[in-house]
Amino acid sequence: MSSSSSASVEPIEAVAARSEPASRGRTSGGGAWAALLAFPAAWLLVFLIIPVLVVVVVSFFVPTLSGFVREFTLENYQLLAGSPAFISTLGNTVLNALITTVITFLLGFWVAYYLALVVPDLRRRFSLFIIALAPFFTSFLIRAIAWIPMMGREGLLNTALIDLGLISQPLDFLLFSDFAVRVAMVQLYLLFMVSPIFFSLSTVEPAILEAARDSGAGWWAILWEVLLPLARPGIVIGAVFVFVLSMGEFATVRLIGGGKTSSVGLGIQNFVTYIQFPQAAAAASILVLATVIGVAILFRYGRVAEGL
Amino acid sequence: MTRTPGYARERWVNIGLGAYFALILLFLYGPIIVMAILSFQGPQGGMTFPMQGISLDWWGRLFRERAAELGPAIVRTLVVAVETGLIAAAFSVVIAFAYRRRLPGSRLLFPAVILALMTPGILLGLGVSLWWRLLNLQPGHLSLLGVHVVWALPFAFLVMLAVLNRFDPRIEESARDLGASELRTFFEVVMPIIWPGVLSAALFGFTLSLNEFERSVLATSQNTLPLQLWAMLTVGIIEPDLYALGTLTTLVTFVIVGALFIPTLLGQLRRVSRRGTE
Repeated sequence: MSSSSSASVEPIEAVAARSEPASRGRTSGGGAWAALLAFPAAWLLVFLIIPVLVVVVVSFFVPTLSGFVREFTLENYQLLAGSPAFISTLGNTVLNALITTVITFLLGFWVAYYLALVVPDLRRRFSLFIIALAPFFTSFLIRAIAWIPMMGREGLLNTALIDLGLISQPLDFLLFSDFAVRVAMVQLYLLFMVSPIFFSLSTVEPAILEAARDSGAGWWAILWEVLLPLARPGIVIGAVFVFVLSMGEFATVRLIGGGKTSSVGLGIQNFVTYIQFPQAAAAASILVLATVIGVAILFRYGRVAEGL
Repeated sequence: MTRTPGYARERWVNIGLGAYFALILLFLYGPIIVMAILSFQGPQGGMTFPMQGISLDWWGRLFRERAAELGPAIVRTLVVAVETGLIAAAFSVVIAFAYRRRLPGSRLLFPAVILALMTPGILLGLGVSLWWRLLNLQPGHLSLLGVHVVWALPFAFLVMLAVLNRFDPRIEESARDLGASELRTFFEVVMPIIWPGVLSAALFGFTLSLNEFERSVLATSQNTLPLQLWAMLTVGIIEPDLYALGTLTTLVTFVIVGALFIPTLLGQLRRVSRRGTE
């Protein structure tokens, strides 16, 4: 990682780099910390790295009625690859994730822009950011079912539209549909997009904008030629977060997709319910592969790696 | 203020953006507020409007009829949440300090922490449950705590990085120059200064664990509150008492988030502005 350009490119790294004492090298007093580092390292190994590897390994095991036996097979993958239902589920999962990512960007960029560049006072800026962030900490399940009274046949939205005379029959597609799932996912993950863009835009010096304005750049020119390039790392990181989280989504799909839509995550859970562990593992491995490909494309397209 | 030709237009854009931000807040909070209102639905009322009167009937049913099945789950949830908060805070301090000093290994741990943030919950839960199966263990408290800490650690770590970013390393150096040992420096000099940040990291972990569902669903055989809620939502009939439960847990979460951010926000901003005026 080069140190010259990373500060403007990767906010997390930048924070970390700045928190480093400039006057002290890597020598003094590190022993105790290095030893303590073994604990979180072991924890991440046991509860993150190994579980992910186990999923890949089990996906090649032979399924039995009570779980699996430790013999190698490609059967699980062949089964999934030959299943039109799984292929369409995978396609639907990717499509929902892409739509969620694009919409959260289109909606979220302006939230970040407003907070970072329009709100003048630092304290008010962070207070508003935290107000927007707070629902993220609440239960995802609760936030999913909270859409039922909004979008149901007799929900608030349909009632309002009928009262206004815009429609005569309630719109059925509002709830228990792909549409409902996408709306709910945008709401769930919006702040994962807003936060990194907000932090990127917060580091933009007002002097840069003044300079652009003084040299005659209009609002659009500043947006396209100054702000978007500066926000790009934040946008890519936000897009990666939202894409990855949406790819794994299953609770929202189950609760307000109403059985009319599916996702690979929901499929994994169903496999587990029927004690089909190797199939679940194979589906999860395919999900990870698809996610990694998506993230690689995002990084390539976003050209974030250039600065790292 | 600059008054270039585009200034007036920019001002209107900014006013528009303020209105837009209000709409986004409505989008984020609207469903929760509607749910809270509907939890006061009359006894004959259903899951949607219209309200059939206003009553505390569903709240009463929540506490009377659901208490038995929810009680053990709530206790379990709180225990795991407290443990997650403490462990995540301790780990985040260690990793952040090691990272700050570029200790060997900390460079490797950083991508692992980011990976923890990006691993789909269902995958992590499945992985832990399969691994436990391979070891002939029954998934339970430890496997659940394991994935909760993995989920909470990245957030706690980012909090600690932000805290250490504001921490003046000269204070630590002075203590050591005066002959204090590494441990003594940490507990008697560093900790008294950074403890609000450590507390924030712990509360972060606590809150994230409290509402965690996707990692938990396969990682344990004993229901936590979100898992119990999931069972009620997917198996039983949904009634407005679940809105009451949702409103209650949401309120508790907001109180914690408020307690988490408001004091540190005010305190740290004051410190920043003071440093700015010096």
